[in-house]
Amino acid sequence: MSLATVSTGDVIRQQVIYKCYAMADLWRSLVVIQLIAIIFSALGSGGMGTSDDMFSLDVTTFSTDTVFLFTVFWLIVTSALITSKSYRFEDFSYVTTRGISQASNGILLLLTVFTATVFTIMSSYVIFMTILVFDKGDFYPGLASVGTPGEVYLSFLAIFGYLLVAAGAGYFFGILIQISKLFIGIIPVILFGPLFVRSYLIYEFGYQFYALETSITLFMIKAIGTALVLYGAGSLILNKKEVREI
Amino acid sequence: MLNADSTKPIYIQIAEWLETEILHEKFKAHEKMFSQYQLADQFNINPATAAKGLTILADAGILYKKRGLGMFVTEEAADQIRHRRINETLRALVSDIVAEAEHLNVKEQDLIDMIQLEQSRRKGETS
Amino acid sequence: MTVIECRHLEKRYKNGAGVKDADFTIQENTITGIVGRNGTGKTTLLKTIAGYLKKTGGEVSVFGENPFNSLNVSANSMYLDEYTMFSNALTTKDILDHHGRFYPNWDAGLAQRLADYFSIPMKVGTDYLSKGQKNTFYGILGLAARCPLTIFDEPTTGMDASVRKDFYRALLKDYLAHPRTILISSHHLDEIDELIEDLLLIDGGRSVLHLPVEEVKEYAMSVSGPSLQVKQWSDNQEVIVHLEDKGGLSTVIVKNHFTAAEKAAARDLRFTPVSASDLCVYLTRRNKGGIDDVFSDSQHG
Repeated sequence: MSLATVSTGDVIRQQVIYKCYAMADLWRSLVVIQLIAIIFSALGSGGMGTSDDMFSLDVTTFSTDTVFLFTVFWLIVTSALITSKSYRFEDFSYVTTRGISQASNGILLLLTVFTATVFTIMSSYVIFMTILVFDKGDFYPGLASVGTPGEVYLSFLAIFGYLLVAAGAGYFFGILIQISKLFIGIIPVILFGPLFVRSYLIYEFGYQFYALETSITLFMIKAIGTALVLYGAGSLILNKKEVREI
Repeated sequence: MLNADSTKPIYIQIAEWLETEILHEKFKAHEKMFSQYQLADQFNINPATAAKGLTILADAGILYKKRGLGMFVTEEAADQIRHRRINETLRALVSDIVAEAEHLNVKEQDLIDMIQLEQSRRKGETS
Repeated sequence: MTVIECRHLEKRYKNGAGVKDADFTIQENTITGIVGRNGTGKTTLLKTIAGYLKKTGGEVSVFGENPFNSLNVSANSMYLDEYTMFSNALTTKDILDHHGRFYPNWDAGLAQRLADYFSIPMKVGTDYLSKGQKNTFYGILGLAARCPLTIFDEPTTGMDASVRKDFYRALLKDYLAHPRTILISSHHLDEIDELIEDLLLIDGGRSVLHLPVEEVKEYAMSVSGPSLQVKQWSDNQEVIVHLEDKGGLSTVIVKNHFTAAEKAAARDLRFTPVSASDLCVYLTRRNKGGIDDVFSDSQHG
C-alpha cells in the first residue's frame, strides 16, 4: 500500500474544522453565560438617587462590564479546558503531530476570541433594547455604548485585546496544570495572594501596562505580544509531552 | 474441511485437500489452481499459510508456476499423487492395521474378510 | 519494504516497567500477532510505534522515520484500543465523516455497511456504546481507514464470540483485497493464529520470539513417558520447560530440532505437538511448577 503524503497546512485545516465541531458544547456555554450576564446588566450595574420636595431623581447606569467580565472568565476556563487530556488525546485519534495540535488550538482560540468579542459588543445592543422595551425612564447613551462606527471599532479592538490575553493565560495555565496538579493551587496563590497581603504592586503594573495605555496601537501590540508569549511558552511545553501514557 | 484442532499444520491440510481435489479431477492437467488469496478467503486463513501449502505442491512437482499468471496443475500430477499416496499413506495405514490385528490376535483371513466386507459396503453406498 | 524497525528499543517508565529491549523488524503487508502476558509492555511498545510515547533508548523507525511527532507516520498509521477517545459532542456518524476528511484511503461505504451489520447506533456519542460495541466501532474505523499501518491493541475486548469471529473475518477479507501492514495484540492467540502470518512474543519488556506462526506451531514438541526415560532422552535436547513429574511419569517441552533417529530411539515416549499458544505460555512462565503447587502446600502442610 503506497504511503499517503499530506501537507501540514491541510492537516491543520482539518483539525480546526474537527475542533469546531467538537467544541460545539463550549460555544453553546458562551451564549448561556452571556445571557445570564445580560440579565444582570439589564437590572443596572450602578445607581444613585436624589430627591427634594418637588422632584425625585433616580440614575441607573447600564454597561456591558458584567458581560465582559463573565466572558473573560469563560475564556480562561475554556482555553484551559482544551489543554486537558481528553481534548489533547482526541487529536491523536486522527492525523496530527504535537505541532499541528498546537497550531490548530491557536487558530481555534483566535476564532473563539473573535466570536466572543463580537458577542460582547452585540450584547450592548441587547441591553439597550431591553431597557428601551422595559424601562419607562429617559435614556442617555454614553460613550461607546451604542456609539458611532469609530467608537465601536475602538471598543472592539480593546475587548479583542483583553480577551486575547485571557485566552493566552488560560491556555498557559491549563498546560501548567497538565504538567503538575500542584499548579491548581499555585496559580491562584500567585494571582490573588498579593491581595491578601495588601501588596498591590503587580495589579498596579498590570493596570498601568494595559489599562492606562492611551495609544490603541501600542495597547494591541502589548496584548498580542502577551498572548503570543503565553501561547508560545505553553506550546513549547506540550510539544515534548506524550499522549495516552498508561 | 480443515480441522483447526488437528495436530497437522494448516498448510499441510491445505496441500492434502488440494491433492484430493486433483485426484477427483476437480482440477485437470494444465488447469489453473486456486490462488493463495482464494484459498485464504475460502478457509479463513492468512494468505501466507495458504501460499505455503501451494509451495509444498510446487516443490513436489504437482503444480508449476507461470510467472504473473499463478499456479497450474502439471501433466503427471494425478499419477504422482496416486503413486505417492499408495506408497506412503496407504502403506503406513496397512502397517498400522496389520500391527493392530496382531495385537488383537485377528487371523489373516479374518482381516481380509473385514476389508472385503467394507469394500462391498462402500460399493453398495455409492451405487 | 520494512515498515517497522526496532533496535534495542527501550521505553521505561519511572517505576521501571515498560519496554526494555524490543528488537525486531516488521515487513510490509504482513499481519503480525503481538502476544505476551499482561503488563509485559505490549501496549507501551505499540504506543511507541504509533508515536504516542517517546522512546528512552535504542532505535525505533516507522516508514523510515522516528514516529514521535512525525506527520508522515500519523497520516499513514492508526492505533486503536478500548481507550481511544472521541468528543462526546460527536455522534458515531460524525466520527465516521471526520475520518473521511483525515484519511485518504477511507472507504465510507464499507464503514457504513459494517456499522449496519454490527448494529452500531449511529446517532449517539461513543460514551453511550457498550464496551463491546465501542470496540467494534473502533475496529470498523481501523478497517475502513485502510492505513498502510494499522495497530489493533486487544481489539475484541468485550465483544461477543460471534462478533469476534465476524470482525476477524472482515479483517481478513479487507486485508486480502487491500494488503497492508497490521499488528494485532491479543491475549487469545487461539483466536488469531490462523489469521496472522507472524508472531511476536513479548515477555518482560523484551521481544523473545519473532517467527512465522506456522513455524511457531512446529517449534516445540511435548515428550512424555516414564520419568527415567524422559530424563535420559532429554538430557541431550534443548529443554524449554520441565512440565511435571507425577507417579513416575514426566513431561518435558523440547525444541523441535532432534533428528528422526533420535525420535525413533525413544520408543516408549509419546511425542505430541505443542500449539502456538501453549508454547507462548511455556516460554513466558515465570513461576516454577503450576497452579496445583499453590494448593499442595496448604493441603499437606
